[in-house]
Amino acid sequence: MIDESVVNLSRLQFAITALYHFIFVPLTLGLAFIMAIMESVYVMTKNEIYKDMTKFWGKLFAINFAMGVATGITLEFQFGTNWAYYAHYVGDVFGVPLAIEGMMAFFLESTLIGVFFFGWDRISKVQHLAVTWLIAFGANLSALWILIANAWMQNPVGTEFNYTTMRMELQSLSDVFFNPVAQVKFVHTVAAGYVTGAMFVLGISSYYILKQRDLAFAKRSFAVASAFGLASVLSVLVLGDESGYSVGQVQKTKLAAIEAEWDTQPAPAPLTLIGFPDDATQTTKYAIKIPYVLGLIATRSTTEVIPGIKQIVADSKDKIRNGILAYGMLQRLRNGDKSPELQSDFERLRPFLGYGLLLKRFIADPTKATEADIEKAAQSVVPKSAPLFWSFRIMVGCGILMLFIFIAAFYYNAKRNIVYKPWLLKLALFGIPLPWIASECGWIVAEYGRQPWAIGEILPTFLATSSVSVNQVLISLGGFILLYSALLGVELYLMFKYARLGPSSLGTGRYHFEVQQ
Amino acid sequence: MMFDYITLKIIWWLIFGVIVVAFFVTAGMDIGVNFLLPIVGKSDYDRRLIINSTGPTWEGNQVWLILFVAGLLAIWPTLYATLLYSMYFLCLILVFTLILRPPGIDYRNKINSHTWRITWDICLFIGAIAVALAIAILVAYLFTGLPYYFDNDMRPIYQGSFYKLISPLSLLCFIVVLSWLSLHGALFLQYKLQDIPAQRSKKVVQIAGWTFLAAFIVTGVYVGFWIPAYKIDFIPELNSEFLPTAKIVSLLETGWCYNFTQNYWLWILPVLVLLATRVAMRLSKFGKPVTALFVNAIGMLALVFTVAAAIFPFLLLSQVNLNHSLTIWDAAASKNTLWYSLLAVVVLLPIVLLYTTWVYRVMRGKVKIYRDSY
Repeated sequence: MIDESVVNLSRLQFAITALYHFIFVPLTLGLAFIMAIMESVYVMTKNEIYKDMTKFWGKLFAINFAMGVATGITLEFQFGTNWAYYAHYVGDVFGVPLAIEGMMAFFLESTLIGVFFFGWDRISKVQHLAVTWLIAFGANLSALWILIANAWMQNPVGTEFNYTTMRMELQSLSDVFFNPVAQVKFVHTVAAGYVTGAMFVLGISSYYILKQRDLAFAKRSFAVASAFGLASVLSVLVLGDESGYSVGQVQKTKLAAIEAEWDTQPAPAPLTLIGFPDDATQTTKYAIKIPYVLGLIATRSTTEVIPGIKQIVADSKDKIRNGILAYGMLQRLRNGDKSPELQSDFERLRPFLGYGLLLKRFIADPTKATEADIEKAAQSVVPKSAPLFWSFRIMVGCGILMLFIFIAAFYYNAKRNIVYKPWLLKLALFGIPLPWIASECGWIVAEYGRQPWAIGEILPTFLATSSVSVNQVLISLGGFILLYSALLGVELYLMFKYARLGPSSLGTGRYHFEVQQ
Repeated sequence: MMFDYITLKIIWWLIFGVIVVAFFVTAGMDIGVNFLLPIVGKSDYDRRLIINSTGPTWEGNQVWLILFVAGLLAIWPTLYATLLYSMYFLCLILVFTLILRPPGIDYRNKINSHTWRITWDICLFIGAIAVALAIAILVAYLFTGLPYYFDNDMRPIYQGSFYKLISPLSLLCFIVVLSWLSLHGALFLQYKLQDIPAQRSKKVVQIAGWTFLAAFIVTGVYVGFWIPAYKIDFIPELNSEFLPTAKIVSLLETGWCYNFTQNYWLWILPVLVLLATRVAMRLSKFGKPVTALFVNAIGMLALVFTVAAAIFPFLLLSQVNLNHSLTIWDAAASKNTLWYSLLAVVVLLPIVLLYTTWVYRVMRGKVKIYRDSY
């Protein structure tokens, strides 16, 4: 039987290491483009200050990039060390986008990053500009392939279960690539990365303006960040809406849990703006509802019904019963029964095999499941609502706050009087954590909302783990927490040090701390 | 599809060989350089030069390892699952040292404190030893196998202790790997550094080279004639899909030279290792480290394929149930995955090689310290 503590600890370890990795990724995505924009201006106008801007923000980029790469490796190993059955069961599909990512994107950004930092005097201006743009594209291509892999976990298209090899196998790479979930996920995530980069540059530039130093440098950085940020934050919100629509189409369970929709409501369903969802009693206390809005966002129609949690649980019982049949047939097939009827029956019920596997949490042989087991398995098909409900609302709240900051920044920058708006500068400075809070919450919505599945309706999370002991996971988890905390401390120390120092750290002799000396 | 399943399986075995070679030639060099940090670099300035010699290229080099691991997941998923899970703590150590490398290189010079720099120097040095040890343990297990089996659902179950990693063979392999990578790293440093540190590197080339040659021969004889080999007695049609548990495997007491006794031309490989190493050492003596690096790369290719040819077609051996050993015939992914991934490799890897070569060209010449240096 599966050890629940191993499952929970493995999940915790993956969540911690993934969330940690995702501290660094969005900034890489956004800052790379901002640097490319700044350097383009430098090459076009030949104004040295834009070169200094590229180099200074590049310095901060380097501190961040080093950690982003290193922490990504952890995840790549964990699919094997802690999720060995997952690796066997879906590696045939899931590994392909990861391998392509390595060849198409990771090599590009990692190989050229050295030229970006050390090649300023070794290649021409235009060549260097091309390198910077290629790094930015490399980082984004990297996100594309990773999100294609992730989207397949959410919505596993283009693949079939093969009973001979006991695993999921790739049928069509283009189906996996053009997975509708992958498309919206990609644009939503990279746009969130651009917002992160913009907020970072905007906030730190505001700090210099507030301190009345390096004004020419800071105002220009502020200008680039406010324009880039406004465009990005608008895309995130629009694409977030697109994301909501796509979730409504293919992941109805996730949608119901995010919205704490316990009962199916007549279309178009109202949106619960805020409230206190309680998973034990399946009610939402003090709910403030806006009529029609959820139905309109999630279905883009006034007639389509959004199933509630109670209905999803009830409906899943039939799927589980079909899953039991499919599981029984699989055993007969593997024992050498090659009759065509069995093969075609299995073909028909194969989509429900994952629901049969859900029972393995409660009983070793799903074919012997009782009604009580089926009931328990049905209850397990929906994730807890409260964490999703809150993560989602925090994410959207941060997004709206940033929209306000970027509108104000863009407006006052256009009117050329940001220097006289200390409230805005302070808001931008103290708003720096906002995009990170939003991104981490977004990750929780996407991945916690996928539960109880590792691969949507195919492979339950609890089955996907390795057969390791509790102690083993505790040791590795403890190790990661210690090492990661120490490194985060070092990283933040350096970030603060260089952000405070500003462009003086370039050693050109043109900036605040150097001129004074 | 241009190829049948069996051809695809063999092509992928070759591609993995090439990826491993590329890893050793590039990232292996960086590991060697990091190991030589306190040996060649006697002052803080020297050590800074050494770190900056690989500074612009190490990040790209490391991607070969990342590609290797991601490739394992895609192409040999069951091997990936079994190996990484069975080597739980080894992977953990490897990951920790890999995580410490980027801040070690990038953050070392961002704070002007002696203790701070020495700390990172030690991290890089120990990290290099740890990576070499991890590789050595892995290679040792390629020949001796691991205590695992598959249950009815094809879930790998590891029965050994997770802590017992050191054996006489793994220690021998450790000497081979460490001297091998030091030799390569020292050649690179001889090319990148000037004056006294370059002279030191030149000396290290000879010491590491002779150590490697001796250790390689001893380990080769030990593995070839003492360590029992595995032999397939029965296996289903190679061109079809089947489970790794479907074959019958027995022990062969004569040792891993079995494939070499069946195909005499395979002896070219180990001979080439010895030859290339000697030529690289001579070239270094005559002050031609760049040519020596290329010659040594050929030796590295020969060594990787010596190991691969010895255990062919095995990839991972099971000590608990010999039949559950993984081979290139039954650990491979589906035909579709092999085919699509092959297309990706054919299109993308040449481009990677192109810009990697360009970057090395841009960064050629002796390393100097200036404002942007690490």
